[in-house]
Amino acid sequence: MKSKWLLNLTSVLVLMALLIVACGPTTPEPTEPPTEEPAETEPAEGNCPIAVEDGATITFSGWGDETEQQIYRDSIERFKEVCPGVTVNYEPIPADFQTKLKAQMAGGTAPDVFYVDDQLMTAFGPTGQLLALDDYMAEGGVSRDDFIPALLTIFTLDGKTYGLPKDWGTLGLVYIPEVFDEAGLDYPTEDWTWDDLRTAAQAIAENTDYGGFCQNADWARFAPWVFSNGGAYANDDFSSATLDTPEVKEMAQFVYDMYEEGSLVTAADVGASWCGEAIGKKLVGMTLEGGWMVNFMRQNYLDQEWAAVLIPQGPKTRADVIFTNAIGVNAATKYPKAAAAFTIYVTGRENQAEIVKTGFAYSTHPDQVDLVVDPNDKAIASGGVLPDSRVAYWGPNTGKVNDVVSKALERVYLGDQDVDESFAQAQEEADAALKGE
Amino acid sequence: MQAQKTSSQGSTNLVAIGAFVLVFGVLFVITLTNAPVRSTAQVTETLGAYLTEVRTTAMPFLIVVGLLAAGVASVAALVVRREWPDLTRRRALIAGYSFLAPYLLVTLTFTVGVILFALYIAFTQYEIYTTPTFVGLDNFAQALKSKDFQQSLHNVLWYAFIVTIAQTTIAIALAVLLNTPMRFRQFFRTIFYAPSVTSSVVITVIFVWLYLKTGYINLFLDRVWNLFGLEYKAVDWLGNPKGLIQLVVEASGGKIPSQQWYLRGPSVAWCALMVQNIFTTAPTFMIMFLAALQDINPALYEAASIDGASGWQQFWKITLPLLRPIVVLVLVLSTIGTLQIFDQVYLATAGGPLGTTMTPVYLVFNEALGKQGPIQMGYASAIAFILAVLIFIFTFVQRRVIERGTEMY
Amino acid sequence: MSVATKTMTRVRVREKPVHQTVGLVLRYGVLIAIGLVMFMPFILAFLGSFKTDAEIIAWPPRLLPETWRWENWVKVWRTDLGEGATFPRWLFNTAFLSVTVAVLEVIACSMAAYAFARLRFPGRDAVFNFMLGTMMIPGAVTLIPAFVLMSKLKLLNTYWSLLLPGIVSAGAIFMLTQFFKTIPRDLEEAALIDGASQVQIYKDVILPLARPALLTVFILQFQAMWNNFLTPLLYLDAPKMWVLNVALSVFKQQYKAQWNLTLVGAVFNAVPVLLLFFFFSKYYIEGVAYAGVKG
Repeated sequence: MKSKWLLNLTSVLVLMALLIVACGPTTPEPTEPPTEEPAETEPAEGNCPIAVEDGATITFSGWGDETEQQIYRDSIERFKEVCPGVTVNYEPIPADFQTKLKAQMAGGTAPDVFYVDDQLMTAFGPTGQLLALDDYMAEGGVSRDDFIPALLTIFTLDGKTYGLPKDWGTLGLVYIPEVFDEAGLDYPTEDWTWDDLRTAAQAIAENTDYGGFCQNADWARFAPWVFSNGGAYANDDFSSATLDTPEVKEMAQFVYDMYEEGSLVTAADVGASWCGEAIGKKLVGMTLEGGWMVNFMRQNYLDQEWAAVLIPQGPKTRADVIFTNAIGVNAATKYPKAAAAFTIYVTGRENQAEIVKTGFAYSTHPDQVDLVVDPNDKAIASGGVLPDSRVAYWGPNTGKVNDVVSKALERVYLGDQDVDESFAQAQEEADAALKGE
Repeated sequence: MQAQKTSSQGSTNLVAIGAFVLVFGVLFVITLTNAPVRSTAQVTETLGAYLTEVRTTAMPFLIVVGLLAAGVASVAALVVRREWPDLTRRRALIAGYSFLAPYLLVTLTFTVGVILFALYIAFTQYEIYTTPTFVGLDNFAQALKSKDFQQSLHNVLWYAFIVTIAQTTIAIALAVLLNTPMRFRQFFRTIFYAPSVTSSVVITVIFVWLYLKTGYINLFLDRVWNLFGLEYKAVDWLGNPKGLIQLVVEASGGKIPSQQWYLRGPSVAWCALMVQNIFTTAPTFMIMFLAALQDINPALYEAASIDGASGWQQFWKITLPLLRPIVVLVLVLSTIGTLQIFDQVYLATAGGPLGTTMTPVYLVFNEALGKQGPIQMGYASAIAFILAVLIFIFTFVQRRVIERGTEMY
Repeated sequence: MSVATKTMTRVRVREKPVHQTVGLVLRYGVLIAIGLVMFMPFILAFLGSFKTDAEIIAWPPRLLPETWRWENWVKVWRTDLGEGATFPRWLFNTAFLSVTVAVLEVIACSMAAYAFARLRFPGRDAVFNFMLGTMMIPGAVTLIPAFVLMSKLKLLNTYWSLLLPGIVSAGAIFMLTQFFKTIPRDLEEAALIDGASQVQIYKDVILPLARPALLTVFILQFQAMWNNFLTPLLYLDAPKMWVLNVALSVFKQQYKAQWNLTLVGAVFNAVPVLLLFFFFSKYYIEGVAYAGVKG
């Protein structure tokens, strides 16, 4: 009898507990961030892109070393002159940025404005953590056409813009004139094709002690080859991979033939950790690298002369791979207008012009490409505005797909499989990756 | 008498109810904090928002765990009811659980609650910023089909096998070596144990440096090769994906095709990491063996040598059998540790080259933090559980098989 | 385990036949060789931390640095990533966490061990077996869910995220329980007759007698927290809150070919633990042995 009473008591208490939770606050908390009443905003002061909230304070975060941090601190100063009512707290995260930001987002402490790369776009875009910027752009007189089109693809979802590209990079043909002199060759020109590159590399390898052309088994360095042959790693709607195709395999075979005959070497083969270092240490004649070489060589190998030209032409076209990052806004921000204004300003023409002057990165506005000062940098950058140049983006599983390509190239380099086998396997793996497996 | 009994009965019941409410309350709060809901700014902003979210999305979890909690609380209430009338027993009960309180609270929140959460999300698709959606066994199926996971299991099984055997053997050998009376024994014991004392990060960083193509290990081998008049070609240890079996096969002119990658054995890079781990953990086990050896009665050895047994025979017939329980312990600890290896892979090779150093825990880490694609916590949890089941099976079998012999002694 | 340590009786050997001397020399030779092998990585790392950038990647690598570049050490000590993320801060984080967790563990685990070893109450054995069971749970399972929990509780990037879960260690409780069981009951019985409460007995009788075991727990848990990598990697990823292990892993990526600087970080990380170990090796070793053997 007593146990039955206890059982009844138990069930009653359990029900009570569940009811407490179930009948908690009857009005659900608003899930939209509070929108300020228009009457509380100041009219757009001076050149502030849009009308911002009163007394707005926003946090801004990104990665980068001291040089980059200084550039953005300067950008914040410029922004303050244009939109004085907004306080911007800059909190850079020098290492492990993506992981930290994802954790912050989960804990509700993420900054209002932050760098967005493809990894963060994958994590935050489809799950609704980023603010759609189109309305604010319209108010600020900014349109998507202001930007280099290829750069916006990653940050667009369902036709809406979730990030404004802040800078971009691309690859060019970097070479050491001394090595060419020693091999008795003419310097590379902007009319070169991959065949010209191969011929020169063979000559360098034969007639000098230097390596000819440096390239690791790397999806990023291989991408321009594929694009110039009219190929890609996946199809347009990212539903399936396009690796087991002649466009891709021909170029892979070309690269492998160069490796086999000795005109192509990897960085490890010559004792460097990456091909840029191989140039710095004058171990090879040529490689494909980007605008970062300017600062890298200046800081580490000042005495080593080098030059750069446009990416070589392929069988079908001349095309380059583009790397880009954007600035996006946290959907849960309390000051969406201020945050959007900041984003629009920092990625706008005025600010980007200043950044380009420092040689740090290229502007994302097509009409500002020739603001680049350094001639080598300019030569490299011109690859980015070619009509067929594109971003190596294949949807949310981009990282995995690119990794599959790198591994396929590795297998080929190691002689583990021939090109057909390796890329057939890569096709399967990439298809699985695209499906999210 | 009757009246007294019923009144004390009544107050006891009240206390029992109080105990039920207390225990259930604590457990329920723990359950709430561990409820599987999406984790975003809106949800975590205020307690109210969080509770609403739990109410709307995590009811099944709450109900199941709530029932479990009610069960535990009922047991607690019944126990209290039984012990309360007797003053000394009441005191013992309160004292006991008061001393256990810190342990219980922390363990229930951070171990039990967390495991229930993990178990729940293993059956869901959970991208952390969105509500978990039930997908049944999909995560497990996906894991078992995934080449990355298969390769990680393959790698980690080789690792556990080789490292466990090598560690145990070396540990026993070192312990026997140190077990004889000699000067400076403490000093040697301390020096031998030093690698186990520092963190895996320190050891890995140092070893990655030693394993460089221009590093000391290549230098050492170069000198040794030169002693025999041979040329030595520096090896990029941590970048070499060729499996051991593959090397043997290729040396005799054969080839293991890429589709049968699982026949290739552990890669050179993986073996390099194994050596590093053996180096670090063998000393810990050496200490355990040493302590056990010192417990063995020397009279046994004296009797054996009088009977004419050689040192080697003494070792096999006396030492090893008496060490059996420690051997079991070491094997179990080693298996559990090696199957979960992560630090070294993260720091040294990031799963490469060609995925030959990928491990399940590293995969869990990558999938849960969305390193190469979307965040997939449910999938990561499923992988973790498969690994846990594997570990459990292994250790269970080990204990059964080896302990069977110990009854003799 | 007896509280007093055993002493070895020395056997005096009057005559030493030749083969015994050779055997002895061989044995010492082997031991010294093994000792060198075990310690060599640290020696090399220490020497390497003083080398120049060029020396550290040269082939073939030399043993001793040509010049002793103390600047490497200064440079690493002065590392400042902004927003309060400095090397001394990381050292502080690591030391603070290690000491605090060790102290809290000694308290919490000895309380639990006292309950298991000395008190009699219903459910004691059940909870004890439950505790043993939790030792079997692989860390991989709780890793990410614990991270989600911490972020919900808003404990990420606070010391609490490592302190709270850190105060219980089933291994420490187990070891202390076994140890407490060996303490003779006379003193307690006397105290009970004098009317002492359980808390008083715990505080004034058991704890003082258990000092060596408590010290061992303290040292082992200090070391465990100092060497912890995965949990601080997940929970304390704001640069200001890094522990030395996490900072070292970043150094390795950041400095790339500048191994000399990375090695400075490694030595910095290893030295305190090694020193602690050399001074307290007795406790370490007996603790490990005890946990393994008597368990």
